[in-house]
Amino acid sequence: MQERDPIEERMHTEALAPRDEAFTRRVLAGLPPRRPVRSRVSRRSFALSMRAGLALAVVVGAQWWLASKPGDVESLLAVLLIVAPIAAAISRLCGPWIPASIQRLVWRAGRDWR
Amino acid sequence: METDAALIARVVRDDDRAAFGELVRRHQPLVRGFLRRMLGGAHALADDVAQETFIKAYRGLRGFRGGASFSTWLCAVAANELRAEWRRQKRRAEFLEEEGGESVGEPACGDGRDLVAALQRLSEMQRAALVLCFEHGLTHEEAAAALGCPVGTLKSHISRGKLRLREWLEV
Repeated sequence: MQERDPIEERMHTEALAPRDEAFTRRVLAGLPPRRPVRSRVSRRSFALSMRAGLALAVVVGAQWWLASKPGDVESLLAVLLIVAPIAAAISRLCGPWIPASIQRLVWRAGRDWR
Repeated sequence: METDAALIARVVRDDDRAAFGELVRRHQPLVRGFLRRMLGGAHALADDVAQETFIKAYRGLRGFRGGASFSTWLCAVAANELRAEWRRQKRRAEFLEEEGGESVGEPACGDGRDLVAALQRLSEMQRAALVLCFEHGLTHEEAAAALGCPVGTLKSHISRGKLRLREWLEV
């Protein structure tokens, strides 16, 4: 069997390995405060109201556009350019625009038609 | 006993402080032992740096991808904190010198036969490499990852460090 190097052996025997519960408590006390935990219900409620609010804003905007400048493609593009990133951000924050349960219904219906 | 990965998952998912406490309990001998050796017996300072290491680790736990072991990752965080502490000490020493006060000198060394004193005379990288590999049993790859250097460089630090220690300790 290969003999261990005396330096390695000595370092291994004289190794420092402090362990005490006071240090653990000290670290835990120094951690940043807990993140506020939002319940599943409040998250869902926030997501739904956000979607409803944005849908309403789109309807109002469309009405305004139809009433003021019917057929003006440039202003429609401008509105879409503004709305698209906002919609993407809200979708990322609150989940998909069409909830998964409804997507599943549509998907199943599609399969049934065949 | 729960694995490190399971405890990390609990901390990231539920902000579980008890799970993080268990991680601290498991890895404090490595982190505190390494820092005490590197800071030349300044145990209170080493524990302050160790505490900062664990707090940084807690904040960065989401970024831990599990490519290396948790202990290796923790050593890398500790090494970064150590470098920051040395920079602070250097700035303090420069300030004191400018003010005309006493400069912060090197820690006193023993007669050369004392392992602790001999380790202090090595370069920082040599000391870190030897402590991680021989005191705490990290592999060359793990120690190299923790210290942020290639494995070849680490091996060279180890062999030079051992050579110097052998001379001083007359082993």
